[in-house]
Amino acid sequence: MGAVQEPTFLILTALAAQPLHGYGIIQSVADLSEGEVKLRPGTLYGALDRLADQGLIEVEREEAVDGRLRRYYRLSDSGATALTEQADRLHRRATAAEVQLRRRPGLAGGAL
Amino acid sequence: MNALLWAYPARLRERHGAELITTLMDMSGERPSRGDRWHLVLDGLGERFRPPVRWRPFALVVAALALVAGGALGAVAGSLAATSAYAELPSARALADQALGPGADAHGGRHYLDAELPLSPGAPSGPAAEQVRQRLIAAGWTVSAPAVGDGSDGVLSNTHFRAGDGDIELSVYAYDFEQPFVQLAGWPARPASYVPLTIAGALLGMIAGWLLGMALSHRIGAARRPLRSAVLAGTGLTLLLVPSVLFTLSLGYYLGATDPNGQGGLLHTRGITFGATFDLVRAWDLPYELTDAYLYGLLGLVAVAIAAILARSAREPLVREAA
Repeated sequence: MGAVQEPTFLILTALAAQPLHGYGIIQSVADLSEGEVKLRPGTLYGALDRLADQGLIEVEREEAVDGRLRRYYRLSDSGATALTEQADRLHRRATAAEVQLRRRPGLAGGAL
Repeated sequence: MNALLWAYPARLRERHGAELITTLMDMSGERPSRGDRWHLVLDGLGERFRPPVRWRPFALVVAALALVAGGALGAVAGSLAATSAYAELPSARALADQALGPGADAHGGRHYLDAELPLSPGAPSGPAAEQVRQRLIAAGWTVSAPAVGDGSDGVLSNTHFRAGDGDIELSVYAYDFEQPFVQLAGWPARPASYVPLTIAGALLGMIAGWLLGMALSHRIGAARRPLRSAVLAGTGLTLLLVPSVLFTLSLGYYLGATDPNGQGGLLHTRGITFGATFDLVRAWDLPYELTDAYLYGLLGLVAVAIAAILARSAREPLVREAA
């Protein structure tokens, strides 16, 4: 799996710990991104549809609350693997950025 | 609220329609704001432009081909609509009598007229052309200076000039030949609304083409037997490309030709045009069979339609029914 966009990464991350319904995912993504990523229903379900087609997420259960459909999604095993790969990739990028910054002239411990 | 979901492709509406409304209400309360509803519609329309995750390269190729074909068909529609603003041609008979004198053979159509007058054997073209020119000046036409063709361009040696009155354009050729003759052709001038309408038609057609291409790709990508539909759709769109390109070239010729020698470069002298015009094949020395290129387009449309019908969905529901 190639690099994914930040909203997709955050949706997978939101579902990593527990199954969530649509609104729960939107709230979780906002929390995880410190308010930087605010999903709208249209963009959320477009992304969920693509992730389901790729087998990265699955429907855990459905509930009807006050006559409204609530569908809970969970991360599939292949979704967990993909998220792990993405997290590792981003970690390596972040580490590389830190190393480069430490080499920046003028910074403590950097080359002069 | 459910009406807003029509902005979404059917695959999303069927799978997530109810959830979309629920989540919107979770976020915004029972009465979502106008902005929230607007975003719901815009996001749905945006989804219609997205390629499927699987078959993505195929989808982009299909959408690009459909965009070209849609743009050409849209331009045909725009161009055809603009012809309603063409000025009405005068009677071919009356114009021939006025400009060429008695004895001329005259034919008139909705967007094209021509007339021909035989000259005495051995009569030079120059004086004959000048006589017609003076008659048209007397009748109030604006005429160009006469020019001489020496036959080196493949046209018989001749004297020719153009005339116009703002609405109608005339072309007069007097040919030096064993049996010399004067030929007059007329067609409507391009109205100011022509280019904007044609461009608008092309743009709308391109958008429609892209959307249809994407919808087709999603359908094929989710089909039980996608390969046969993919091959059929690809073949159909490639066939559609032939008249699309030829029509676009004909349109370019019509818009760019400064001295059309034929039917004025008009696109719709013979009804709806979707392919090459006679003027284009004559000017570019192409096979005349290409004026019937719309047949490739018809075959292409049939192939695409069959591909869509054969692509029955194998997409599983998100939640399987309990046995």
